[in-house]
Amino acid sequence: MSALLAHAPVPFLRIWNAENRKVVNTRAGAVFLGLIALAVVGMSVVMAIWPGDTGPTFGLLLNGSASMGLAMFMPILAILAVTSEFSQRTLAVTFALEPRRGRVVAGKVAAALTTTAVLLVVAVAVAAVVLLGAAVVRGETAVWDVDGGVLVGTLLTLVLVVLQGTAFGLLLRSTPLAIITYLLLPSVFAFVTMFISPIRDALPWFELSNATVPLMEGLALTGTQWAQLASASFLWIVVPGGIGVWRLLRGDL
Amino acid sequence: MITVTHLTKRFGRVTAVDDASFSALPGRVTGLLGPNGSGKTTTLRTLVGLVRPTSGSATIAGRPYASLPNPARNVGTMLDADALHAGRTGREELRLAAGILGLPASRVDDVLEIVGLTPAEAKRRTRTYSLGMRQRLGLGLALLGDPEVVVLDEPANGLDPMGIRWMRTLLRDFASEGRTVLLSSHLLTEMQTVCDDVVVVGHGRVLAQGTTASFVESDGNLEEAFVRLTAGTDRERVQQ
Repeated sequence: MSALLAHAPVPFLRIWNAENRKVVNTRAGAVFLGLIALAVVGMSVVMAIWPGDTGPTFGLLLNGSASMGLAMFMPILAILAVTSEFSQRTLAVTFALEPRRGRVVAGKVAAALTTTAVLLVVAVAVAAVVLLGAAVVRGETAVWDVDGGVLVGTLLTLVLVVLQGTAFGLLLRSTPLAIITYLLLPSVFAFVTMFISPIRDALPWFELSNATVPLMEGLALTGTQWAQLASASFLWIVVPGGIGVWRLLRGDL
Repeated sequence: MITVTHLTKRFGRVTAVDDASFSALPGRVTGLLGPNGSGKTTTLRTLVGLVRPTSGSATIAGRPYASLPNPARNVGTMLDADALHAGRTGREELRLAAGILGLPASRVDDVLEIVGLTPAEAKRRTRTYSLGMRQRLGLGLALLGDPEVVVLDEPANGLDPMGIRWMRTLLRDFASEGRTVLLSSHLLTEMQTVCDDVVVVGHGRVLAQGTTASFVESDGNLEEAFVRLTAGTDRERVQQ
């Protein structure tokens, strides 16, 4: 019996690398990233042209591109990263290359967060450039009204919605189902609370997009708001993600 | 090298593999032969850790696939020629795998040459590939880590006569280097040409196993042996 060669286990860095690569190396991925970049630039420009009463400020532009551009599209990118492995049937190859499935999931989450961080840096740069351009055009001095708290709060919001997308993908395993569920959920809550007013006030406790609203303004949340954020995150990230991962780790492919 | 011992796999009430035991030895090509639904694919997927056995075991050099460090360096697998992302190029599919295995990009070019995909073909997205090209790329993924063992599910599927001839030569050369080849098929004449040993399965059970020569000796050829051994197994399924 010829012996197998001794190889070192695959380090996490290589899995993370591969998952990063998967974000950009398909046609759908590249097109989607392009659309996100377009939305980031577009929203900054829109905010610079129609800034409202305050005039264009850095915070206004960044909030526009981060909340309308990144927070809207990044979760869908995260969903696609998971569900395409099912729809394209590539999961068998992925797990044959690295049978420690938990590490593959961790690599996917890490890659989604890496993409998020990179795109936030891009959004900050775009907002700065557009703001400077707007200041020249309007003949005003640029207003830099963003502190570290707003940046960290924005990043935290994006991390939460990206994790939610990943969790929905893991739980539902189907691209259209996961995207539709993710997009419809806030509307469903809004609709239900229209008729049942007592739970309207309780909404931030169990509705994540509601609970993250104060975070985009900075980290000055009240104790109650932090608790609401934790409760909504548990409900829409930890629970679906936990069930999805559990099924994936145990299941047959 | 590959050892399957009293392997049973049930999916709900369906028994896909039923107390199967066989082995595949180094330096030999072993064929898993059986009608559709006989448990070939489930057995191979269990072997590489994608399916958990209900009982029994399937090991490579005495260890479960999932417990081998960087297993794809030692065990190359092709289980599903369609397990390719339609929007990814053939080369990128191999680059991705090479990155995980810790292999240089030059290995991708070597493998493309081995499996006969031209640089122009490798640049195309896999949605444009014919089944034969998918099989070649799938085999490339299996061979990437220069493995001691290869496990291939229906490798001749979709290949033209020249492709089948090429595949046969490749697998024979591979075995002659002392490596282990386990493949499944229901192409009987092809199996008779390429396999040293044959395991005939039906209804998830091992019906017979032995050298190809021994089946040819007893029944004239592998097809007659197969028909004799699997007689009734298809009819039984209809009655169930």
